[in-house]
Amino acid sequence: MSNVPAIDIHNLTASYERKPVLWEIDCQFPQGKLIGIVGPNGSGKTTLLKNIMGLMKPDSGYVKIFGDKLNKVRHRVSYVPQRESVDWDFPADVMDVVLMGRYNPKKLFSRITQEDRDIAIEALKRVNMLEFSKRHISQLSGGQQQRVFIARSLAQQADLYLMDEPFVGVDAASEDAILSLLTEMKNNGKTVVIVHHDLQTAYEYFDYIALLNTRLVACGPTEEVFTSELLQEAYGGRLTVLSRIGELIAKKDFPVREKGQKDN
Amino acid sequence: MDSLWTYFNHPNFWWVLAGTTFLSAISALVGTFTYLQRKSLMGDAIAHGILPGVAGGFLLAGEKNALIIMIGAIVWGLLTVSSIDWISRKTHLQNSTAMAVVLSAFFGLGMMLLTVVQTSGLPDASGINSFLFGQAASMLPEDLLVYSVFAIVVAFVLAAIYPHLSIISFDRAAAQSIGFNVRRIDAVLSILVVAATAIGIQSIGLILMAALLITPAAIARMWSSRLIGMLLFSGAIAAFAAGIGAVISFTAPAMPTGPWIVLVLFIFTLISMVISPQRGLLKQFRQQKKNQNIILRENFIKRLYHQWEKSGQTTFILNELKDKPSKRTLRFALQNDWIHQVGITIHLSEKGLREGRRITRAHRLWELYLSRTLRMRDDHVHPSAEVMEHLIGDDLEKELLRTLGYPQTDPHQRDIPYEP
Amino acid sequence: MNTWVLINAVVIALSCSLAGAFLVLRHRAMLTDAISHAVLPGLVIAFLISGSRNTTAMLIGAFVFGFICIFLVEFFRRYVRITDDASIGITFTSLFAIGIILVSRYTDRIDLDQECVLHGEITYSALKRIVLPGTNWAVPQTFISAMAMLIIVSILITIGYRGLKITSFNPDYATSIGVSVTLWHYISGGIASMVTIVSFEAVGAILVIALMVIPAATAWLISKRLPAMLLNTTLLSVSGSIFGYGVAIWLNVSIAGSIAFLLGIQLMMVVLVKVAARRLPLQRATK
Ligand SMILES: Nc1ncnc2c1ncn2[C@@H]1O[C@H](COP(=O)(O)OP(=O)(O)OP(=O)(O)O)[C@@H](O)[C@H]1O
Ligand SMILES: [Mg+2]
Repeated sequence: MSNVPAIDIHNLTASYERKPVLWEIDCQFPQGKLIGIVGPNGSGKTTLLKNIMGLMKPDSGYVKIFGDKLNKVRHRVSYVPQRESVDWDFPADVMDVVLMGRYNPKKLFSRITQEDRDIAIEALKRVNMLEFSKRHISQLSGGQQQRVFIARSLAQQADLYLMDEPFVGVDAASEDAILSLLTEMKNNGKTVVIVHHDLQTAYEYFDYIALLNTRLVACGPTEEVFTSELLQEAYGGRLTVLSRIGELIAKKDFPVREKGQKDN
Repeated sequence: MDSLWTYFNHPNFWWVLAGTTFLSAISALVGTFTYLQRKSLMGDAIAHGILPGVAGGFLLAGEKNALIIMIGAIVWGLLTVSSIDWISRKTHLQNSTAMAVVLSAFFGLGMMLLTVVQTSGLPDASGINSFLFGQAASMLPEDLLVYSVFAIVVAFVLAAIYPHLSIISFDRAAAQSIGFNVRRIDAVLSILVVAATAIGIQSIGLILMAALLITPAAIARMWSSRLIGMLLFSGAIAAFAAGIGAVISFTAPAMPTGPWIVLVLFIFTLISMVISPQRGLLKQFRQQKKNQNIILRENFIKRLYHQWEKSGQTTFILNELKDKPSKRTLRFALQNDWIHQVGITIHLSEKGLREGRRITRAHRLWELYLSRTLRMRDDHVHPSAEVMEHLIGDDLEKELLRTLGYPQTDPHQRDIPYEP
Repeated sequence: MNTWVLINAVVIALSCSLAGAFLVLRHRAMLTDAISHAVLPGLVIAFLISGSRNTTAMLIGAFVFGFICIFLVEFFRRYVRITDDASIGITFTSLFAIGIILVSRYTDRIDLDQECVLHGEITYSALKRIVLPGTNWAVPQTFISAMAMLIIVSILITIGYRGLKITSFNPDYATSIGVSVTLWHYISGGIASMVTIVSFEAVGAILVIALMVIPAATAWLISKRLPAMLLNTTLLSVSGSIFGYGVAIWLNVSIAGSIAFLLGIQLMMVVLVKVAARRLPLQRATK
């Protein structure tokens, strides 16, 4: 395994309707670790994932994955969106969703092979959902829906996994099961990045943590980040300076970088 | 224009003009609230859904009787609203899907009844078409009276529940949390939309009625951010457009009125889009231009200040400057006494020094802030500070100074300059 | 009763409902409303320029205005921050109004009137016939264009099945694996515009919406998987058009209107049955 960081976030500022919700995020996530992005509600965790996955265009900065542009390494990355982001009434059963993990944008027109099916079945087995494979997705519990999403992600056979709140609405037993699965993946050399907002469990789960609250409060090995001082800072509310300058940017329609100036 | 006068002298002209402007204004007021609650397309669904009521009312009355048609329209309008509500409550179909379903199915039923009307041999059968695209000129004073009575009722109800509506429109969740019966107000608003649609059917027609509920509100939003301002604006715009529609309806009787009203509204939309003070493109463009100018001239004075910082020199030869300022920048600096010009040399004034110092201070404070509070690497803080230095005013500077405890040096160990 | 009219109705219903299915799945049902209104000026201008009902000219005209519609909606939304549904509302009413003004102004020069814009002319769709080359079969022109449309739509949906499916179900995920959501958004919108144009002449501006939305919405309520839903959509659109045609002939009323209404009745029945089915086990349980 090389020493290139799995994810390198450089001076990333991102905003909705011109108002920044992430300020100059600058950090690296190492490979082969279980990494938590932790912060209070509305602190920009989802927004950070979206920027990493190219679902949003940042105002400044860039993200490199395995030292490369996302487009070059897309097949090595798997993204699990927040469960609320899809319509669970969509006419599909569990197997259909997991098979979406086998879609390849370059071969969108070719057929699903037996190999794809085997991989999907294997993924369902690993999340303990094989018996539900013919069930309609609206007839699953929240935790089961989450596991279907994880199975789809497993079916992608990637090296880097980014999951948005995979433990929300999941009971304790399933949470343990998912966690041991993620740990196993990590032990196989995969990098797993998880958005999480429960501080209690974050300490146990993750090797490495990014503490977020519109700005990066800390980023590093769990023991270094989990100090009461840093936690208080992350959960102690917004910074007046940042919110006021954010309002100014929105009001005056100001850019966050001068013309022609690049972050390098 | 001789011919226009003959229309003005037409006995019904002033009636129709006054009536349509009034009716349209009332409809637009109701539309403002649906716009703010993001329910604009509801008006479209209702407007199409009431066709069976209109055609049925016509068949029942056996003639073009405004009152009966109006009642038919309102009954079917309510049925439309409740069907949409029922489908979206009982199934997983989204509200907008339910709207499309009910709108088109009811319109289909309406078309069936319309063909019945047309083959019925009723004396006034062709008059029904005026309800589709509007025919203001065909309105009789009696018709107007009926519509106006309904419009006045709508206006009164609107005034009565105005406080509730305004709270719900701006913050639904908050209204709910302080114990507002949001569902009841919603129901009243739906009834008002039905009534507002029904009163417009003869002047604008039901096919394009939605425009009267949506467009004036959207235009008003571009000009005002206050509810009362929006209401005044949307009412006035709708009245004006309807007035033009009425005139056209008299001058060109073969033309339906509705499309002209909508066209006028569309033109207003395009104009507002360019020149409106709230969100106009011109304003956006000017703002960016202004930002660019601020950045240019502040960068110019900052560079002079940096040179002074290094060498103590206050006199420069214009042509030897590394980044030559634009004419505009130079003029601004001269006018504001930042610099004085003598031939080909410029001289940095006390005021200019102060300005350069202020910007440099803002720059370095911001770098320190990023480094300390956002824990950015010191070699990454510069690009952001290049912009924020232009944005940090006196207030923010004080805030930064307080937060950082009046620091002496920035992350690159350069002095943070204070006023001596 | 005219068998060709019925056949035309069925073929048109099939392509509309298939194209509509993906808009319904994307919660964009009201976009059909917008497109079906917005293409009118395109059709009229094509008429005026080409001087006849030239299908190619009409296709181009309608496409141009379909795109103007989508562009304006996006423009209003993004640059002037008008809310999403209001942008749709403003755009399509305005374009439709322009279309109606043109229709009224040039009634004498074009073969289109307000009546036709609303009702369509399915009743007369069997009149203009073309003799198939090499045979002596005289087939209605509408049938040929509708059939061509059905084939094109079926091919596009078969080829694009996965792209349409994944971008409808989970756009964020689709983007993350490198599938362009915008591209497929335009493809599904493009397919919808295409069928709108052919159906417009036959069933009019507003009843197109019924054909595109109602069978798909009904099928969604009773189908567990996408292939089943597409199949049910086609079945429901066929049954709706047959019943609707029957009722129209029986009562001597507008064919297009009757089909739209019967499609609505089908949906109502499905909802009622579902509601009743949900109640039944409850009652049993309380007993
Ligand atoms: N589409 C949007 N438009 C405008 N603002 C948004 C949008 N999405 C998020 N925001 C704002 O951006 C901020 C960050 O949102 P984000 O969803 O990234 O937070 P989060 O940390 O994931 O929160 P949660 O724990 O609730 O999931 C919030 O203040 C939110 O209000
Ligand atoms: Mg989130």
